[in-house]
Amino acid sequence: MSRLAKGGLIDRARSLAFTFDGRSYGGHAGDTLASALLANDVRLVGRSFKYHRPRGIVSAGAEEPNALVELRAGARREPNTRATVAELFDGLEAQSQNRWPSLDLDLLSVNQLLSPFLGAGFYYKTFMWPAAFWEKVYEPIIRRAAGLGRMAEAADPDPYEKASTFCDVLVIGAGPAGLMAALAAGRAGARVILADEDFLAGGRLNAETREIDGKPAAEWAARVTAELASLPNVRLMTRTTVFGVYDSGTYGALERVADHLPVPPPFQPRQRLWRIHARRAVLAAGATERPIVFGGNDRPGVMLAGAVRTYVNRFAVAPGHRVAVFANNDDAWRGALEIKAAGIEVAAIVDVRKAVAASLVQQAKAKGIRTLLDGRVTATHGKRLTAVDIVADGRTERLAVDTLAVSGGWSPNVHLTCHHGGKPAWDEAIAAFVPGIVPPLLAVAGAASGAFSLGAALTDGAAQGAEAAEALGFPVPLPDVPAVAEESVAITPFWHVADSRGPAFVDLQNDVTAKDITIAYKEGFRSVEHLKRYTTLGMATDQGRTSNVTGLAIMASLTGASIPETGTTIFRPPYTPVSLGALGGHHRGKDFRAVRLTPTHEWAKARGAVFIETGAWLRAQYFPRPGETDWLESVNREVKAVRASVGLIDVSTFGKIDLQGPDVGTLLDRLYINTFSTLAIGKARYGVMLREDGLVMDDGTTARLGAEHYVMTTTTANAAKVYQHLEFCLQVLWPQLDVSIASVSEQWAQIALAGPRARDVLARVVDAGVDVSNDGLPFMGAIEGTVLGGVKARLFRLSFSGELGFEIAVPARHGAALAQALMSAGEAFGITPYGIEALGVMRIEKGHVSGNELSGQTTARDLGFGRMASTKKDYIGRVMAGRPGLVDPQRPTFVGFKPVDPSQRLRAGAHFLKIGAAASLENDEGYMTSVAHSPHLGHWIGLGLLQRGPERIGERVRAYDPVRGGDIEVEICAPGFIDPEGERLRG
Amino acid sequence: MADHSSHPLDTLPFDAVATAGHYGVAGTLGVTARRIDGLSIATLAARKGDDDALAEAVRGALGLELPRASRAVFAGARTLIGTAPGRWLALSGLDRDIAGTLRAALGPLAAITDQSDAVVTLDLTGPKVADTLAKGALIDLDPRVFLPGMAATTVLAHIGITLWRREEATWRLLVARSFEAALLRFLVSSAAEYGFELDDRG
Repeated sequence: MSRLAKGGLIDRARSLAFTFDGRSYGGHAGDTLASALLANDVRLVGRSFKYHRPRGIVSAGAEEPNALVELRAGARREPNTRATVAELFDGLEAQSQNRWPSLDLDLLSVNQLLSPFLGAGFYYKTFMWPAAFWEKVYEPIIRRAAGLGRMAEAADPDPYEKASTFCDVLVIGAGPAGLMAALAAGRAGARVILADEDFLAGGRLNAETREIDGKPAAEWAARVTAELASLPNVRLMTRTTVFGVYDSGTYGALERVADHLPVPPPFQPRQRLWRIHARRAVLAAGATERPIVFGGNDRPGVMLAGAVRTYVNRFAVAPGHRVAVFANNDDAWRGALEIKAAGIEVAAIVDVRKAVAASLVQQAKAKGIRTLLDGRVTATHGKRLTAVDIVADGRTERLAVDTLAVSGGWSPNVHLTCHHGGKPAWDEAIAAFVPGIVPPLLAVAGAASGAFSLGAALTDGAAQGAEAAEALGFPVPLPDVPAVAEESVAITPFWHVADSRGPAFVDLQNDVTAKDITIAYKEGFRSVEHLKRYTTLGMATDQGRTSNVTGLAIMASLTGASIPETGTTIFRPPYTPVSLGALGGHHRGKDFRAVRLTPTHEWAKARGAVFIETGAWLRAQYFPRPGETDWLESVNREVKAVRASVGLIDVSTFGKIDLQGPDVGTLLDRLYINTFSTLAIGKARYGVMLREDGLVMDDGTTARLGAEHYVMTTTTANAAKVYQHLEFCLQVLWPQLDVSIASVSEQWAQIALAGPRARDVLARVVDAGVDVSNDGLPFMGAIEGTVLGGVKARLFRLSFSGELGFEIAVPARHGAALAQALMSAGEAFGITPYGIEALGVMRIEKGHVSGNELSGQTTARDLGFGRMASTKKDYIGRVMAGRPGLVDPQRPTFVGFKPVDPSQRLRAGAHFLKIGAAASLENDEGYMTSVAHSPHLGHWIGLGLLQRGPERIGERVRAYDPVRGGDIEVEICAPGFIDPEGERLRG
Repeated sequence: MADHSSHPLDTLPFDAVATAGHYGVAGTLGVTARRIDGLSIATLAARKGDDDALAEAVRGALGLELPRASRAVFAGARTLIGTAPGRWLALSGLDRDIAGTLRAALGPLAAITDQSDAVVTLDLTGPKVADTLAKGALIDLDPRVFLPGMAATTVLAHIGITLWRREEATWRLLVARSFEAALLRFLVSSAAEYGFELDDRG
């Protein structure tokens, strides 16, 4: 065990059991999986992506490139989880990944022998030829060999959520700067959200042994956190990563509500995606340590110096028992002293610099630590690190250590500052990129802005928090900045030990070496964007946290350009991976989209209806009866019943728009291609409206109920679009028109009653005095009255089926009662409820256009409405409909089709070809839009768009359907298959 | 380790309006939803002309001041809510036919449309209403910001609603009738962690 006897921010009284690769271990509350593994001396945690090299834990945070594991089992298995941020819980199961058969013995490590062929650009070079091999041979091999974890093979059983919240000041990061910023804004009374990805606020204060106001820094952090938690206007969100900066002060954040528990508590989500709207924000995201690249730097035991310090101080874990430090900066020296103070042997500090502040050297020497200036690590040894080779003062020496703590300095976490496209700026003084042009209303504080010393972070945080609150009108007493000792942050940039042995990894997660960068340079892929894509540097799930800056610095040294000239690649959201479950939230499965139910839904359900989604609506598709074995049988029965007697269908889903005012007639004339201002009160008219571009938008009937009162119906699909179109016309195009509109789609349930006995049935549900005779309610009549004993109703004499038809509208609450009353009234006639399949069959038999023909690509003329278009008035789309391409006589035009051999089935989507013509695009003459089996005719019928169709009635063409192997002869006919004279309608 | 989380939606048919009862965490009550029946509801749109005359006529007819913003005003059992420039919703538990009442009183000043059946009215009470709504709405519903009398015509879980805060602890929302089942699924799902109760029609 490598657990230190004392110290750390863990709860030693609470022991947690967990497994890794099936073996049982123990840890404590407050551990991460990584710290618990190290405490149990597990140092080999994974195999690398490409070469399957053994890898250990490198970091103690979100930047971890190596320690990716599968957490949990079964449906909850989550691959590629960073052990360094996975909070330990009792019963946690973790597995290493990308190894076979075991972590210790991975046979695919033979890939290392192939490394000469697997270098930069190997995909492009090796797997180029033959092209046919790519999908069947190369890709499966690569996928098996180079990979990450396995997905769960069952649906995630846990719920996820999304939520919005608002605040005055969002503080991102709860380290010293963030705590001070939140304190300043919170004490001023602003609504503050303080978000931190860790489960413990404090940031680096928990990882170092600094003092603030004479007390341990972690204690100060705990005290400030407690004060913030006590303020009603401050919301402390730990385990929450702000991952993206979006427009107008919107931030995306992921809260891991239950990732630290075996299963979420009852009714709690696993994760919650937050949309945070902040008037101001302070980014205090800290900094990430970067390594120095040298041969053998991927050996388990080589870690970041700050991470070693974190494990020692925060988790009371000794990652090793004999440590060497390899660095280019002062901070790493303080780390060495802290490691030593915890009782761990520090064999040496190797610094690349020729001179280091005398005080640091003295302190190290006083503690008995060897210091080697102008030194380099040139090689490492052991499967797990046993020794390092060091060159210093011209002498080479092998130093037996089990841990090498490396620090190449710190890079401010500028990621979020770049989400609006701003590029970071190079600051030579700290050898790091600092925020450049940042998103509006976002300030950066502390280490994220390059203010690396603790005192500077506290001061800067307080100032930025106060400024943000003050800008919003909160009077801000600047909080006293607590006293801390000043520390040195000197650094000399150093990236790569060129004269070192063994592969020197820049990007550990994607196995990109310094040599790969040299290859990219030699082959001309020198811009950072090319470098990234050619070598895959920084393209792994860690997005190159610990490798990007080093990689581009190495490229800069090859090209001779400076680092700022070389530049960075673009930082895009999300900052760390976000699960798709969280992005979906409540909207998964049947809740993907809100379902709309018709007023008769329960009634139809009770009658055994089969439902189908039509847009958001759920509509009755057909009503099977016992003994019926397939849908066509039910549909044929329904159609026959309507044509023979009477049937009913809920058509409430049509859009209904109430129009009032003296100018409605004028508006309608401008909306529809035909004239409406002449419509008499009590009458309805069918109309077609175009889009501005001259193509058909929608069709439907509009009825005039009073002198200044009309009601328009739209298709189900276009209900919202047509309403929006009317709003646009009235608000933008013609605000002078005195017309008020209101959607009444939801107010009225509407039931269509069709068939020769429709009137007999209707007469039995209307109240006394309502005349539904052919005189009282003639074809295309629209009257108001009452039904069912006093229920307000609108009665329309309309027909989609081609039969005598009525539509009865009642307030929606009465919809089901109306359906039931019609069923009772029609019992003697064998009334049959029908679904939208039968409706579709009947409209095809009648030759009416519907959604398939109103495709957004058809003109009024294409659909046979050419003569309906008025030439005496202007209307939307008229001019554009006259474009040459839209009036070309060769355009496919609406006609009907029947199979020459009546036993043949027609297929919608089949294309028309002249008989004998080759099946080529040039010979294409149009396509079949709708088909149905007509029980009336006893064979399949179709509607479609055919070049010069109406002129070719009686001709035969080929209906060619390569998708389903159909190729039959069809005869062109007029689109109306039954009652072309319309006698039934008017009966 | 349990095989799956219990979730109230698992047993709720997706194409049925949720039945009355307690959902989610037992023993606590974060949100109660109660369906309010019997309200007469109409939309009111100002016609071209005199806005002041309309305000005056509304004052006379309902005893309410026409709100000029997204606000709700109440007097007795009558409510007026601003839903858009020049548009309002009128609700009444007093008038059998608020549309008729308004049409008679306002004449040509406004276009009135009966919407009594178009919407379902829900009263939401309890300490967790704002937290629940925040899971589907994109506006600031913090009780310190969205004060009693404030109203919003907005979306909740992609469903259009009109929402207002009647009193300190009572929020009322209107949702189109066809979306009732879907909206209740959202409420059941989102309030489950606090304890959710759906009351019978009141």
